[in-house]
Amino acid sequence: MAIDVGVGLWTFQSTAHHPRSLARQYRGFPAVAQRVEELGYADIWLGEHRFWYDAWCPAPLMPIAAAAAGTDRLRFGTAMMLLPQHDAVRLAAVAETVQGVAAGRLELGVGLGHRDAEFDGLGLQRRQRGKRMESGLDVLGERFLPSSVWVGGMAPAALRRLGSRGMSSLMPQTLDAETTRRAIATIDAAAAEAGVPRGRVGMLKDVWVETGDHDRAWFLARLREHYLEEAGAWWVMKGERHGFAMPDDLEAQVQRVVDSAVVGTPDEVAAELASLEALGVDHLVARPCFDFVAPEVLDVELEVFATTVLKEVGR
Amino acid sequence: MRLGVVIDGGTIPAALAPVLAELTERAGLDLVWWRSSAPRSTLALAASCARVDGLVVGAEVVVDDTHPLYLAEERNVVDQLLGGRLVVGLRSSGRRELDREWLQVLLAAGAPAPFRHEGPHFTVPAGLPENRINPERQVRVTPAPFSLEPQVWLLDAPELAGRYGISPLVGATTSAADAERQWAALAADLAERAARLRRPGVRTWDPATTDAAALAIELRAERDRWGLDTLALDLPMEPGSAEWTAALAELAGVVRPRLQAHTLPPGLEEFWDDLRTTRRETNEREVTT
Repeated sequence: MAIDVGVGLWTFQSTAHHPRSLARQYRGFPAVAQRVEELGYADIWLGEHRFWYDAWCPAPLMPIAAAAAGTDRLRFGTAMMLLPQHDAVRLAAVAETVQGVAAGRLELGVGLGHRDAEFDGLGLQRRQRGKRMESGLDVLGERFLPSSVWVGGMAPAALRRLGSRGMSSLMPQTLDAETTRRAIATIDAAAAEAGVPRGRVGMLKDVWVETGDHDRAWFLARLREHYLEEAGAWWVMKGERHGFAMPDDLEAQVQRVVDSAVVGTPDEVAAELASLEALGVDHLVARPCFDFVAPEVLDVELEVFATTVLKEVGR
Repeated sequence: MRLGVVIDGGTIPAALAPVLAELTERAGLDLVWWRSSAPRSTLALAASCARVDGLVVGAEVVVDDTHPLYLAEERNVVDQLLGGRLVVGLRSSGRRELDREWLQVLLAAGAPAPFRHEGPHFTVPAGLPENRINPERQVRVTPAPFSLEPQVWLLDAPELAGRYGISPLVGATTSAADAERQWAALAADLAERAARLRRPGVRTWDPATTDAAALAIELRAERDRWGLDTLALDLPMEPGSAEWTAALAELAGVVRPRLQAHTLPPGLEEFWDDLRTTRRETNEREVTT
């Protein structure tokens, strides 16, 4: 088994239940990236959201520019930049500058975005996001190596869109084996039809290797709270309302996400992640970094994962 | 006076940006100013200097038709990364209302509070009827900048400088006499409020044609004439070259000390020059042997 293993997601949040200094998070990020590089991870990934109380970072390319200078090998990814919320030409110019600063080590992940207030703040209609994604990918496709553009989304149209461009896919954490196989087959078919080489296939996974007091029960309880807040306040259920307004749907959705987490001893986690390669996944973005994981706890987790699971499954 | 250098953000390899910032800091200077050169992002270049923590970092941005919230978000994040050391230089688009709107949004987004903006080009939030799930009447741009009062300087927008009480950056082609006139007009507009402003400027310097001590005399005159207190020098040589590094050393060792106090005791500048000459000769001998 050998796949590329990166780690995420750095979001620079300070939430109601887990308040943290934003200044320390931002100014400490270059040192975090150095540590991640020393531990042998392939890449480090950052998220994007905007206009939210917890200060989720709206401009992840900037911390990447700050951290790239202190690293040599580590690659930097966005999971995801919300492409339809951007002026694609402007975003491409910023990303090209960061690609230069990082000496070619930028992996530009892009997704649709889902929160009405984010689109509205920028004067955009959320329902136009598919169209804007399409034209945005055209712009990025002219400026970046297709395989360095990672596209999120699981709808067949989204998979065909990225496959036909030879772009890479970054799949969400909740996919089961059969859905993953079908998704990869759709991408393969679109790439073949377009006559382009298929990009890489990545998957984001919420992952936790048990360490001392921070065991399975500790992680899963907090993971559940984390997604209850995020899905309750943000995720649109059945195209209608946010999760807190639809508690049954919220409960089902959060349970699905929590159940998809890979948690256990190093051997258990390694075994479960190893199954991804057989499905055709060649890149894993392991996510132990959440608002509820304190920096010192995260540092231990990154090291334990690196010295056990990463050695087993990493390329 | 704070002293630094201008670097054209569009002509250097982007990966060199933090290296040049480090050389500037190591030379003992105070400031690096990234001149806008589309399509490069000067904010990203500024962010790349985050680990060089002894410099003020300026990023020039030209106002254009894109949404000013993108810049506001990047400004806030980069100011966090730099620990409050970022200055954004907003260069006029030539369209007064557009410039004004960008400035309004940038100022509002620099505060740690939600705001609403309605202007001829942008409405924030837009309140589009299609965006109906949990609509918001104001936006909060996060994170807040690290600085309590994030710095914005204006280029080629004197009317806005007076209206909002913001420092204009005197350009390299503006003469000392014109700078003096501009600042006299601004100070008359602002009265006591002008005392809060830095008086920044850009000047060009070619060491091949002007001795460093002579440059110091010119700059001292500008300081005393119109209050120049923060200066970025535009040098003709390639950033990072031996000539460029030598010029930085001259700026830090010859020009900078001559600009700090109003007057220096007789004999001190000669002492500095003699010591400098002796050291240079010693170094040359050591290199030869």
